[in-house]
Amino acid sequence: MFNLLAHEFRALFKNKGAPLLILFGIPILYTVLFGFLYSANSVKNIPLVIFDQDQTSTSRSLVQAFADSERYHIVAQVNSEPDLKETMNKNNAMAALVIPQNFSRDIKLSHATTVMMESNATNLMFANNVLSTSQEIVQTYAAAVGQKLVEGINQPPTQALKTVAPVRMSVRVINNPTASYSNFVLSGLTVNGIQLAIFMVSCTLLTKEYASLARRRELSSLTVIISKLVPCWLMSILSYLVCIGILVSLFGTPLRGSVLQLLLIGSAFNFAVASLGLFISAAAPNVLSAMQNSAIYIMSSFLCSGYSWPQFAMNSFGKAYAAILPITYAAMTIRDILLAAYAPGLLNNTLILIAFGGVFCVLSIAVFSLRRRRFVSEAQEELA
Amino acid sequence: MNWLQMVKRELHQMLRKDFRRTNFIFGASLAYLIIFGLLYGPHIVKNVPIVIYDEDQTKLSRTLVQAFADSERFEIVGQPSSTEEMEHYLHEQTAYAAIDIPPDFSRNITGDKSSQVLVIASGINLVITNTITTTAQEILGAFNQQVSAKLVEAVGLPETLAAHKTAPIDFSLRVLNNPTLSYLNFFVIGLAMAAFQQGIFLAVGASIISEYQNIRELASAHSIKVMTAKLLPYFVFATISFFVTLLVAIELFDIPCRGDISNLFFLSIAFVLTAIGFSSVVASFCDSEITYTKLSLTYSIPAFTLSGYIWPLASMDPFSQTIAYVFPLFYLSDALRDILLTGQSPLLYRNIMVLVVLGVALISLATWIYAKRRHKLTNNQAATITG
Repeated sequence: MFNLLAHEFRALFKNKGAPLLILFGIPILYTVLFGFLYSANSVKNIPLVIFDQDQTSTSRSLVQAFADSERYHIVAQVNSEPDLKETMNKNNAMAALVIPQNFSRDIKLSHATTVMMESNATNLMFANNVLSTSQEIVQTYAAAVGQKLVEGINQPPTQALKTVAPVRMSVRVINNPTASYSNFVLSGLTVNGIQLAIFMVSCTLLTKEYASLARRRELSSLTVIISKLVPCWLMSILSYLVCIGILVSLFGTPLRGSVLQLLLIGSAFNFAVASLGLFISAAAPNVLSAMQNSAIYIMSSFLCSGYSWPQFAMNSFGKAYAAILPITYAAMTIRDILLAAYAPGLLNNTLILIAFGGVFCVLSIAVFSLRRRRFVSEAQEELA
Repeated sequence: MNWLQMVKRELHQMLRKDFRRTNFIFGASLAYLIIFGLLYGPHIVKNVPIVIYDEDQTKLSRTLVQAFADSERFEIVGQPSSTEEMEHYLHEQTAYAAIDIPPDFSRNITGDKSSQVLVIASGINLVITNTITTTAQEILGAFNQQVSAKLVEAVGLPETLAAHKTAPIDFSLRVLNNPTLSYLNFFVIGLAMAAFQQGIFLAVGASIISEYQNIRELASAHSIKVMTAKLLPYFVFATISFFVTLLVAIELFDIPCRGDISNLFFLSIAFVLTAIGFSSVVASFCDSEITYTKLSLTYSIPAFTLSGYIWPLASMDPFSQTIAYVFPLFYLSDALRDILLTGQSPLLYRNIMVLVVLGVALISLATWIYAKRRHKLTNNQAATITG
């Protein structure tokens, strides 16, 4: 067994180390590539166009409030509705602030006046940001203006502020206080890269085995499967740890939980994916088409796992599909350990992944023995 | 072999000998469209589980609790009675946010202090965090207006005037092009296009690699003729597939199509040209289809992520921006979404031009490589036979 394992380990280095290159190269490539991509952490400088129809000091102070926010970058000031439309249509601006005529006068006379924010929602990345920040800016501004008005009916300033904004809201974002996009998404993309790499290596592992069956007839199916699985699994764990190291040291992802917990869930996940790949490799008549056809399952799994679109918002199709994907049990748990130091589902998910891997291991052994028997008997018939 | 025979030969391969190729071209984008169309079927994130710790337990605090309960965005899953219990909900992720109403909430409001409501939101999944902060802000904003108007009325001002004094500025938000902020409209077509590209890659790659494996079959024909006749059926099939996918997106998933069909047509054929060229060149260097498939799968995730479709180009670092410009998908997805949702895309003509130039250059390169490699391979084979 030891010799066999050593042989399979060496096999990972064959073909100019191609399998090893995949196991380490893809996850590291993804981690570094996406680490740089999301290094800005949040969408800032949203291009904003101003349509100020009032042009008074009151309206300009509102414009200034937007100019002061790092979320916005004022790209143009327009003087007419068509100009506004054109700037928005050309995607030169993703948001527009429209201040009505008589804005200042209406406020002074205590008539209602409406400030309008327009947001181009084709990319929700912009729209969501505009929605939350513009509301905040205008509310703060309105409170300040309201304070002045109420002071006018003989209330002292602090009392006046309290009257117009009796309830203040303070938001505390826990575990990712700066709402960093990189912290939110990067570890998941890394796990996705690891899944892809393990899958690519493991789903070709048994192909050559069928061709050289005659030589290895004395080995039990269990031995063959274990000797194939273990080297790939161990190397993938090493690759996973290297990637976590890169995330933490190079891209500032916090590591608040314990490395042991990360190791536990990562090993279980890698085992599950490797077993699945091995099963495909054992069962497929043709590795190429097996790899290509199961690509849809592997490639779509990350987005279907509930990592970004939460499971409670999914319909029953989404929930059922997420339940059969190994990444569902790993990616979010890993992110929880990194960001919150604690993953509520750690133990459960680890057990599910081990069971998942175990089932596919047993299936691989069964299918492998069955096919091997058929191969051997066909070969004997040919000889006879 | 004449042109027609060569095209027929390729069609025979696509439809009879190796049906996978047709399958990839039509299947990949449709499969993705359906999976993600169903996944994002709910359009927006609703029913975020939250808990409310009402330390005040007065009529006013219960009005605020009711406002949270009335929002479809939230689902109150618990009313903890201590800070520890509230934190436990967050810790175990049974709730993604906790609203803490302080004990003197009501007294402060009717007295002369302002009151502070604390919203604790989990920042782990930003899609959820965003929903929580935006909705909480909205709810508290409206609540504030109601309460403060009552306070000024108490001083003796008539109702409407009181409302205008305390809330002098109405804020209205107009969301253009995707008014319901639907994730389905925002996300799904881009994902289908990423798969569409993948489908073209796999089909064309299979064809090119199999051609190299049977290099003598068309050894006497001119290489330009061979490549053109080979790639033409893929070009036609892929263009049809693009419109089939679009039709399903519009009819089945109600993704709006506000744009002009001719714009869609030119954009799609320009993209198909580039995708075919790109895959032909890469496939020319691959020794087997397995290697090619691995490369192609590895490429697909960065191609989508770096296409500027979600994370905007302006927020990328210069390194990522440079890479984004090289990816064909960068010129398709964003522009396509713009055409569908807004009716036009500002950079449409630039994108079409870039894609056409890139496509023609890549196909020419693939043809040149084919001519060179065929020459070498047939010479080698002849040498082996005579030797």
